[in-house]
Amino acid sequence: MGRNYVVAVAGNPNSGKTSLFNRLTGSNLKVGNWPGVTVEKKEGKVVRGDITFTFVDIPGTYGISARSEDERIAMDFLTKDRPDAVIVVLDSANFNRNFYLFTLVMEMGLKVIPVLNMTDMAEKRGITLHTDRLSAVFGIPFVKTIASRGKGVSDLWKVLEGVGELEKPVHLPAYPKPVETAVETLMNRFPKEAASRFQALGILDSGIVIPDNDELRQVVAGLQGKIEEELAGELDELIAEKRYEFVYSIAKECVERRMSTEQKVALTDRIDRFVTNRYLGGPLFLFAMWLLFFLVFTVGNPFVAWINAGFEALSFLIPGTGLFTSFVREGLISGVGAVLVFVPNIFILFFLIAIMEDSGYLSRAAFVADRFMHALGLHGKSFIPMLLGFGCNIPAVMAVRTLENEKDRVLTALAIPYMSCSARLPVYLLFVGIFFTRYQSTVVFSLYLLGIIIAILVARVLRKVFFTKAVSPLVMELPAYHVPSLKTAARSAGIRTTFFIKKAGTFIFGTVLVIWILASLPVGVQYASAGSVIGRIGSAVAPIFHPAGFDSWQAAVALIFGFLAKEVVVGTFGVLYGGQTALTSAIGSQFSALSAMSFMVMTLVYIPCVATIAVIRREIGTKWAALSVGISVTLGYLLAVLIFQVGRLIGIG
Amino acid sequence: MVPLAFVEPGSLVEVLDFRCGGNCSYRLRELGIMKGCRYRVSSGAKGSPFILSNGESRIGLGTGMAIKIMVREV
Repeated sequence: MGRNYVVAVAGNPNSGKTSLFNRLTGSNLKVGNWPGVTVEKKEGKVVRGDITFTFVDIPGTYGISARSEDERIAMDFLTKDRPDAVIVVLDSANFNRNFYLFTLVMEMGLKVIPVLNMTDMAEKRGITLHTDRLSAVFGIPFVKTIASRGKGVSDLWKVLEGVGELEKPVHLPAYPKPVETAVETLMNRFPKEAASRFQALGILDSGIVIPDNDELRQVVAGLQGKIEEELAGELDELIAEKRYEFVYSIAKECVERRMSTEQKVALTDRIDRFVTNRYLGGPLFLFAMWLLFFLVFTVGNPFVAWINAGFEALSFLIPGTGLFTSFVREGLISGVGAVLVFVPNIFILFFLIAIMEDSGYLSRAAFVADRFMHALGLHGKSFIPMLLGFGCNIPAVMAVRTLENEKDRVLTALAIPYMSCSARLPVYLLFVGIFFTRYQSTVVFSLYLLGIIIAILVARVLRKVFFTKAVSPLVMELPAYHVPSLKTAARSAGIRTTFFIKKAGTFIFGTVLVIWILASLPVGVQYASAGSVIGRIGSAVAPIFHPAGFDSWQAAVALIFGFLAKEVVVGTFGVLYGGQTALTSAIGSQFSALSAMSFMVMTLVYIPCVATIAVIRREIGTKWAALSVGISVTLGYLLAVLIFQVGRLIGIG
Repeated sequence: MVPLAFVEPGSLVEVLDFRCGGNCSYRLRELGIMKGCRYRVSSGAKGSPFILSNGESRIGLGTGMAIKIMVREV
């Protein structure tokens, strides 16, 4: 008989949880969302002998409570779904804080498999964890791993295969008498709500929302009153203190420090002195960003050229003039192909962002950014969702939920659409490739910069208008620097790029199909001519864009369909002009360098895309989503006109 | 007792109190910043972030936060 085990993988952020999860699940990955929310849920099924393991990746958190979205998801899964075991990934060099989370999971009364990860980093710093002592104290096996290099994973599998016989940990924190009595009372009288010590304590210290039960509420109020009478101070503080005391006592017995880290200035501190320096921090950050985009182009472009050549060759292979072949050639290959050629650039962008995140620099960047973000009315942490926005606005808007304050969430979500996502990149690339061949990365970099400036200004103005309260302050862990794992970064970039390709395959394909049909109707019309349905729609709208310098009906059509997804802008040009070579020459003749610039700015600013608007609406509400659309369309148009008119006045183009 | 924001980098401090709401002191505790514990202020002053380090753990705090944490220099 085969057995099935559900194993949750929990751990602090920066504990190497993702690397370990990847090592365990390999390529058997299913990515979805947690029920009711947009936080990513990763699951992997692995069969070993007659056992099927389902690994579920829990959001990386420092604690477990109802106080933030991520922690609530972790709590709900662990306490309600009650997995068969929980792997807790612990950063060996950061014993105390990581063991705090481990303590919480133990208190849930679940089977726990503690994994001491990054033992190499700990050893380098003179920290040795005695697994034999830890195992003796808790009565459960501890596994040492270096997940980034796959070390120790086979030991973990041995423990997992014996998970049926695994004992629960025997050593737990003890609390003062009145608290213990209250926990016992709750667990006896309300076995459903207070199913574990963790839940009983959470109900007492308001770390979890008290379930809807009048009798329980009354009892809790009574117990809280009694504890307050006997003990001084806040209950939640007291409980946290006891948990930390417990962790310290374990550390004393099982952690050996060979040299005082106080005496030795760690490499991390030395690096931090530069990268968070008041004067150097900003320029270093800008240089890092510029380098990022420089690499996206110099490394990506040769691949782009190959793929391009491949699509060109493909369209030559399909001869004939029939309706279907015309669709395949003009619609499919030119339209979707125009978008897919940028896959290498997009992969590299995601890859480099993942590298920055993994190396530890990204959280420093948040602090560097905090100074001017704060001055401009945004939270320092807002910077990370905004940076993600460079990849795709959708996950970026989802990431605003990591901000604790609602106002910060709203403002950040409204600022994100101005971050140049990977879908705008094809538009930039198409135009700079034609008009700014010598300054490609500089022009694109300045567009990214313009997006950031607009984002900050929009946030600044909106804060003035809608919120008067000050920005909530920034607190963040600064993980030790380490050499990032290329494999993990490649995998994360792979997942995100696949998402992009899927989008190109379905959504963009559908749009391109509609454009192709409209370009072929009415029957008998010359394909994609001004007389076609699409040509007439475009021609009707085009005069609006005259002041911005691009009044061809094709440009109007591209912008209209760009509402659906920005990739479609390029796809539309591809369909309407037919093929890469024709596309390049047609755009070269219809635009000037100046109007290309105003068109790129328009594409950057006006509406992110339907999907982003939908996510904004889900995250912060309809009112804000509508406001976002209104501002971006107006602003985009005004800026495009401004650029063209000013440019013409000073004699460019 | 002074706010962390006024402490020179390099000094050793003991955290005495949090002058902020329940959620914010919860966040600090969760990251391992506890009343009565000692930390090295490894960076800070002149606008750069305040980094409280304890062993290998480094917690960065913006100036706004550093004003709300009351400490004593040791």
